[in-house]
Amino acid sequence: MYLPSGGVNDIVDAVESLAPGRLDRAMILLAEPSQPGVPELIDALDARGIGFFGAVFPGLISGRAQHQEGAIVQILPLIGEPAVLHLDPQKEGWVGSPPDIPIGLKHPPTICVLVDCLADNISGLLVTLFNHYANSVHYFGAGAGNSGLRKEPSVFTREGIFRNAAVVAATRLEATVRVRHGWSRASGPFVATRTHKNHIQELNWENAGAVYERLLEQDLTSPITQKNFFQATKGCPFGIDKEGQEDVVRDPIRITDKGELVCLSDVPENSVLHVLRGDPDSLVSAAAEAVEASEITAEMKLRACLVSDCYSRALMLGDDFSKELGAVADRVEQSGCSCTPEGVLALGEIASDGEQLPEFYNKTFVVGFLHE
Amino acid sequence: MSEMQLPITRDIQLLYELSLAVGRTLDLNRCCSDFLTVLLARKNISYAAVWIQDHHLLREGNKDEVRLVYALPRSRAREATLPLSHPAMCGDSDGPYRSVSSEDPEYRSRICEHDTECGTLAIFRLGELGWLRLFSRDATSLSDRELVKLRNVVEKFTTAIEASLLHQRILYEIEERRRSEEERARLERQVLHAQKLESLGILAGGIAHDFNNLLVGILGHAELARADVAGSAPVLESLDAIVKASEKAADLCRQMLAYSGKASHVVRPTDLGGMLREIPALMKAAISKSIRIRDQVQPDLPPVLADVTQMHQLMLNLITNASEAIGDAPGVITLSTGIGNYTAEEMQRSASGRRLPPGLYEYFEVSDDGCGMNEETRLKIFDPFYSTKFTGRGLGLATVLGIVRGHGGAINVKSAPGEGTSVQVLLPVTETAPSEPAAPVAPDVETSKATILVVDDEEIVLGVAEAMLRRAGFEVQRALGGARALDMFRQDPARFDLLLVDLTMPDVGGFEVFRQVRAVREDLPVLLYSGYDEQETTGRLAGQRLTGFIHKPFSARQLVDKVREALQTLRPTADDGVDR
Repeated sequence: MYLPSGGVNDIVDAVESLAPGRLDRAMILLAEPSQPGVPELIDALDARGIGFFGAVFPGLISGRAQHQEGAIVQILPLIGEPAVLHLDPQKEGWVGSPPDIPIGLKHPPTICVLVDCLADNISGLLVTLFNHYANSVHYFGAGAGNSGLRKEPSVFTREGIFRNAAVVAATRLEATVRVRHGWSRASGPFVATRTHKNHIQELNWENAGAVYERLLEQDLTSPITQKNFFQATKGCPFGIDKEGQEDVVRDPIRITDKGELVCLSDVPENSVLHVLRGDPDSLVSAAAEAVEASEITAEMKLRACLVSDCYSRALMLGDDFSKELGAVADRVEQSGCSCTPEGVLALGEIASDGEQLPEFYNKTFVVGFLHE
Repeated sequence: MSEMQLPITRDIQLLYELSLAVGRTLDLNRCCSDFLTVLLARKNISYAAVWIQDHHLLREGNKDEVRLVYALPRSRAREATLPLSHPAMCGDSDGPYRSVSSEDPEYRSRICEHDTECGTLAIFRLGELGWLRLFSRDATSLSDRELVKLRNVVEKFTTAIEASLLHQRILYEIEERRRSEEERARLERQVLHAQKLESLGILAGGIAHDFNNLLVGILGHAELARADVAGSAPVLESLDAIVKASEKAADLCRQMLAYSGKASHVVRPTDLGGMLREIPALMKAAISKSIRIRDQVQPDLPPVLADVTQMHQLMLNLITNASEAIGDAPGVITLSTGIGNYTAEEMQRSASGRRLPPGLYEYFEVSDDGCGMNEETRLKIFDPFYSTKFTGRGLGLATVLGIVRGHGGAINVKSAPGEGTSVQVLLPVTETAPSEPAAPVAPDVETSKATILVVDDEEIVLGVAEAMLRRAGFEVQRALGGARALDMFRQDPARFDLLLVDLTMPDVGGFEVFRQVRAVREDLPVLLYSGYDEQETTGRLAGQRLTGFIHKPFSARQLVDKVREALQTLRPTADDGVDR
């Protein structure tokens, strides 16, 4: 349910109107203008005895529209309580206990992961979760934060709102998760010969910024600067090879004084990269294809269609982004399902069917159909 | 890029990344993690695990066992160890073993993971070290061609694991060496400390002995002078002051002798627990009201041979220290006793200043939850005159150690800042109790007319003893040294009614004088005197009919009483120890 106001009272009333059961918890996805009201929201929900978890995002998606304000409320039947995992700044490991999954469930439950996109070592978080759950679950999630990439608390539970943290909730609903982006290789390969977490310091043993600028030379009207970086490079992310899948996209979001390219997700040292290009058509088609690949039918007892679409993808597509949302909504409608796609403009997208190490994607469209 | 080039480029990319993920660290866990994380991130593989033969991991490892050292995801692993003969550990150095669930009837016997019943399993032999197991739902990801492609990089991974294991072994050996060097250094420190304590003990004993001789003179002459001064002459006050100061000096001498382990003590079967329980009541005024005494004294422990007075002094000292460590804050002093079989190593670790045999020791322990002390302080507490208090009290714990040492025991001290202190005193358990002293024999001589030969190498002592005895009415002959005494005795053995002999003399010692005299006259009473331990002295002359012992310094009264008592014992009645 999308709530245009995002006010505390509206959200509390909306959650109550959805009449959550004893094991249900409200997943609350907030647009960034609502971030300052989160402590008040936590108190209000807590006072009414409503269980919840959530995060703040640059924007929200509801049906065919994106919104920069408001809230989305989704009631999910949870297994256990949502857990907060914190990044230990000393060891750069993740501290906390993800909810345990009982054995003998009819189908694999789904782990919802909402993580502060600016937290270090998100790949470490995903390895931690993979080690904990292995293939007994499906994963769906998103990187939270704000459009200015300011270091602010962004994920919350009744325990509070946190930075450098992740909220992990297990719903007993099964997810059919599909991932597509529509970008294709334009040049490469390049070796990320020196990296540090999400900083690419060298490409092919040269300064990464210099190599990247050279590659994009023909498209640039002026040299890359810290100011024009996103605008100049939004159509040229990197891709890392993955067997049997599209390349995993890494989105450079800024350049440092030293010419290091800062991506939204970690880039392993010595990984082989390609520069990707995409056009609105291929991106829109890819999103639609993700829904088609889900093979949902009207007979499925669908409870939700969750979307985690990249914020920078939306910026890159501009006006064409509404086409992407429209194409997704069309495909869902065509399947005969009555669900409205709802979700977030994310700063990194998380998905896995459990058989694969969950990945923190960039500039990618992830759809998860939650069903009984 | 052509369609043909694309898969080759992809292969090169994968192998490039994998080969550079190998060997970046010598830490076994990280070595496995780096390689397997890249493998799972790039290939469509659901599970990877490294198993290593136990004896490569642990020096005492089982040669017939294989151990899981890394798995991704960990929760998919079902076993931690497996027998070497388990079908899961298959494949040889010729190439990987591949098993597809739909094709291989042996497939199920080869799995040791959760939820891997359907899929493809690839098992690489990691040289002689172990196995790498990979699982994928997708058969093409682990096709024969893919496995051949991975073969070289797995060989490289094997070498990296070998290096990590070697590194681990070297680290282990370095750690072992460091530990043994630390242990050696600790033992050396302990030996040095023991030697220091022993040297200090010898020094203290020597000083106390000479000092005692001087005190005999000072105290004796002061007493004699006091007796000569009539009425209330002003000089009496000065003489009293000299006596008092001399007595204090004598007390210090006793402490020094106690520290040296040569204090005069008389041992008898003693109930340590009973004594320990009595102390707090005696110290009521000295212990803060906010301190609780916890009684953990074990009943029915066998008595140990100990000097009651010294044990009393020792317990008082320990409980006072415990009380002061707690101060005015609420706290608990725990008193406990027990008996234990202590190993040679445990005895070596304890403070004793000498090498004590392993075996049964009874102990009493005083523990407090006070301020505790650091290692530096703990190492110094037995040093004479060492104190952390504003006003130290003489030899303190040095005396405690001396007393314990004199009893053939040892002390264990445990302490840490803020965690309190516990002092455990160990005393050897002996099966035999000393025989009771023989009953005195009825007097049959006129003691006041007796002739006494006083033997000492110190003129001052001779002078004082002679003066004291003469005033009591005795006839006194003096011998300066043991050799002179024997000469005088041999000239006329019947001339003397009693010999008063100093134990320590440079020419002929008191023991030798006693033996030679006893060889000639069995009936002659002989009194030895010394600042040293009576028990040790009389013990050395057990069975030789020594008449008695006088501890230096002595007063005129003590000397005369002892001489009179000895003169009444002309016939020895006991055949060991002191005969009365």
